[in-house]
Amino acid sequence: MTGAEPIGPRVDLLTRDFDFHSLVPLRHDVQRCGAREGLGERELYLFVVAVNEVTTNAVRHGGGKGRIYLWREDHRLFCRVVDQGPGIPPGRFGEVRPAPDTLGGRGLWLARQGCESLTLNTGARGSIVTLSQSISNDPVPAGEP
Amino acid sequence: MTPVSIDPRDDGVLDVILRGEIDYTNAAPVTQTVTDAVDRVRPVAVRVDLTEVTFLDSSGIGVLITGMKAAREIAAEYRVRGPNPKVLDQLRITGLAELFPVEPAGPPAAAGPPAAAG
Repeated sequence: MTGAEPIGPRVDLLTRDFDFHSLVPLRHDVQRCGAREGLGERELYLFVVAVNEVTTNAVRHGGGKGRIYLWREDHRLFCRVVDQGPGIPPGRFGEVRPAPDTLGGRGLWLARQGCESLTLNTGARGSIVTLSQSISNDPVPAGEP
Repeated sequence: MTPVSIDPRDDGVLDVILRGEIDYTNAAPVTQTVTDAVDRVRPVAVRVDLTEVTFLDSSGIGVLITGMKAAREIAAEYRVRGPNPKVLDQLRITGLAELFPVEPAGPPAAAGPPAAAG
């Protein structure tokens, strides 16, 4: 993917391994990062939902654990979740909204609603899901509580 | 904070109060609590209060769908009230707001059963 990435200083915000037990504290930290970087309230909520769906997928279907990278480039927030599971089956990429009364199969679709871009790189040795969202506001100045 | 509590009222309405963050890590026991209560109480209506819910993931959305299906099985009315604007937004984009009435937050409804379920 080198060469195709946006040009700009990359600011790493969070890199962490996670599993079932760290899903919730990780989500809270992603929320704090997103707020600090200036995501608006609605964007922040839906972005946190999106990231949470992808990390939860890694725990449920991607081998029980994963690693998350959260970073910023210019006015865009990126999140990448890597797992070593068996891959996402065709037809489960979340491109079509499930019928409202469907149970399950909604995660990736919901994730797509919370970001402007979601790319999947999936195969038998694992999945890499990258999502990004532009940031409308300026970051909160460093040193703020 | 308990994520769910159940309040069967004298008028046949089953109040289900959800709280905090409903997600994959707690959705299964919350669903079980709701479906067990519907089976046991056999209410004429189920009212799910989301006033104190701050986060729903796809599993939390599943709780609402399973609750609706449990209510429909016994021909009980099903409605949801009080979601904050972000949760309401979610209920709309997922289409859940087309499945059952979603009432705005406000004071508890006046005593008295809703119109009989048809």
